[in-house]
Amino acid sequence: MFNRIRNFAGSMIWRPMASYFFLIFVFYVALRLYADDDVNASRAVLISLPFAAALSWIILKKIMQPLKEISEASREMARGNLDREIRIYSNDEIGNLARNINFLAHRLKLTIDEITEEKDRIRAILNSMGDGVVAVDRDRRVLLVNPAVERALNISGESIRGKDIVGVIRHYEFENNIKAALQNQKELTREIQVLTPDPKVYRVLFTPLKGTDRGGVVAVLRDITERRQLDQVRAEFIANISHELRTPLTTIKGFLETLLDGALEDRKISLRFLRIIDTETDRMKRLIDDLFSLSNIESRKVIPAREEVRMSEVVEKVLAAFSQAAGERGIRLASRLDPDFPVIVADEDMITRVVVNLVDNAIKYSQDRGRVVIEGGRSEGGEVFLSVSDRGIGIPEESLPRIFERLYRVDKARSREYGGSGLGLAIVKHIVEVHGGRIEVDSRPGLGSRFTVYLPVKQLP
Amino acid sequence: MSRYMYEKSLREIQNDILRMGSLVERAIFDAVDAFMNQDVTSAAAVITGDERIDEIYLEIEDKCIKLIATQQPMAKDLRVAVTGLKILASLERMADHAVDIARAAICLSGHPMSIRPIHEIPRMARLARRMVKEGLDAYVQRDVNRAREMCSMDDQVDFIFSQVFKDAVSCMAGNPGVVTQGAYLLYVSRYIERIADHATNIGENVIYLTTGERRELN
Repeated sequence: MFNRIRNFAGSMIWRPMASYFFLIFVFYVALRLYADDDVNASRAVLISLPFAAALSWIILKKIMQPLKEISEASREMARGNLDREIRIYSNDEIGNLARNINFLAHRLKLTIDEITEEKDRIRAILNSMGDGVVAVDRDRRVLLVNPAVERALNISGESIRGKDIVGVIRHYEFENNIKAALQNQKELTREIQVLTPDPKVYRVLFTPLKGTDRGGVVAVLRDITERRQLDQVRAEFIANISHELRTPLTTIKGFLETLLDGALEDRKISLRFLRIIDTETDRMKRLIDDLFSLSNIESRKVIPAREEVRMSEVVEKVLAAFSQAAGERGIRLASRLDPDFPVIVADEDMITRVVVNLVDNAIKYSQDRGRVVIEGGRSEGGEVFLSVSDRGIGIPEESLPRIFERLYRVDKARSREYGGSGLGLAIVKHIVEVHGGRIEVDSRPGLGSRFTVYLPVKQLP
Repeated sequence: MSRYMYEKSLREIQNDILRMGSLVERAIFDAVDAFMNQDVTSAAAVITGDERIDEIYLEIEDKCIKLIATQQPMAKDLRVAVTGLKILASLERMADHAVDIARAAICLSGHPMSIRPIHEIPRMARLARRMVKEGLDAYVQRDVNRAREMCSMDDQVDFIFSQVFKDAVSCMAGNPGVVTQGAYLLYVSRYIERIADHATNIGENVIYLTTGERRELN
């Protein structure tokens, strides 16, 4: 009881109540005094008191309390709690008001849910995009940077939103293009190199934001570093191939001119010159043959034959072919094939070529009186492997990833002395790949190299 | 001019410094790249690009001086303006060293580098570039710890420099054929070492700017 009174007093509702009570009371007292002559002032007060009390009680219950609840509920809704419901179900105006407010809150909640869902979906799309997205407003302040950009450009910042774009992506060209897109309100595509700190090339599309009153630009970044690298490899290849072809051709032309100038008369000299021309022509022919077979394998115009290959026979044949060349330099050739090396299904000519190229390289890059060992057997993964190892000059670590590239030379000055076409390992790699295998290399400068070919074991159908 | 305008022009100056910084970072990368790949075209581009950097440098310097003259800033505001000027000067020196490296690239073009310590140059340059980047990042974020960490990388650069120096001298002593390239190599490694030193200066200025303390981190 006491609590209720305190609640009532604390709720501030008693103030309008008191004024209602007072008004009704005064009005009724005046009415009484005016209507009946025999009623004196104290009796009028006595009669009016319970009447005014009852009337203001009714006002409290019917109007004031519901209004108070509505006002409290609407305040809570404004704070965000849209699940709150006003529990007034009377059939009068106040009940209507309560129902309308409930409806308003319900609709508001639906709309907000919809917008939130939409926003989450857009954020999820932006977050999972591989391309980078950067949006800035017309003062070039960051509106949005998606995680792809943060990862790619190494942006570490708690709150980058609202910062100037130069403070977030410090790139002169990038900012200039944003400026240009803002000024001309036109789309721009640019290739931009970014140092992060390793150089990467991005193709960036700058699009002016339309449909918002604040304006701005969206930049979409796509990483094209690999494509640029491929272009570069291609350019290098063309440069190398022209060089490789020009060198023997210059020699041939030189000797031919000397012959035409009169050296032809001297039989001894002209014979020597013709031999040189013959060697150089052979070298060119070898290069062109290699190029041709490489392009055939690469463009998959050749279907590898499916025949049973006995590796021990292949290795024996190859070693026999090289025994003279190796013997001249005192290099020992040894084969340590597992006796139960399985018969594999492959193209015998191609496999022979792989072994020839690997052994040829091993001998070429061995010191005199070195040794070249061929090993073979089943690998742990159930494939067959064949490795060729030497104790030659080895390959520097930084060159290892590139030695299978066409015409790549570890040491440009030296390898031409050895007279290779520069295509051997590229051919080996492609042959191994068309057979569904892989090749690995392990090398230490000064200690030697070991090339291992892994091939899957297949059965003839 | 109101406080708001003052802060706006300070921010504009800072953004200008970052813009210039991005050009300098690029110039260092391009110069070293040109030196390693004997790319004369991009070496020449670095040299002509330096004119633009110098222009921007003078522009920002003017802005800074005007701000100090008209606003007479005090305490931290003054430190912001003054360190801005000093960072600018460091950046400008770095750009000049990049030009020096590009010049060396042009002088050496056509002679493939074979001297051994040449392989250390990209590693050294990468460290120096990282220092410049971290220094500018620390400046944007007023991050004292980052500035300190960055400055400690200078020791690595100095160490590589001394290694390169010894190695190059012994190579040249053993083979007179590589003296020319050895000499250029020494120059270039020295320039890179200087760039790293200027980056350390940026770090020191960031620390001074945020804490008001002067620290010798070199």
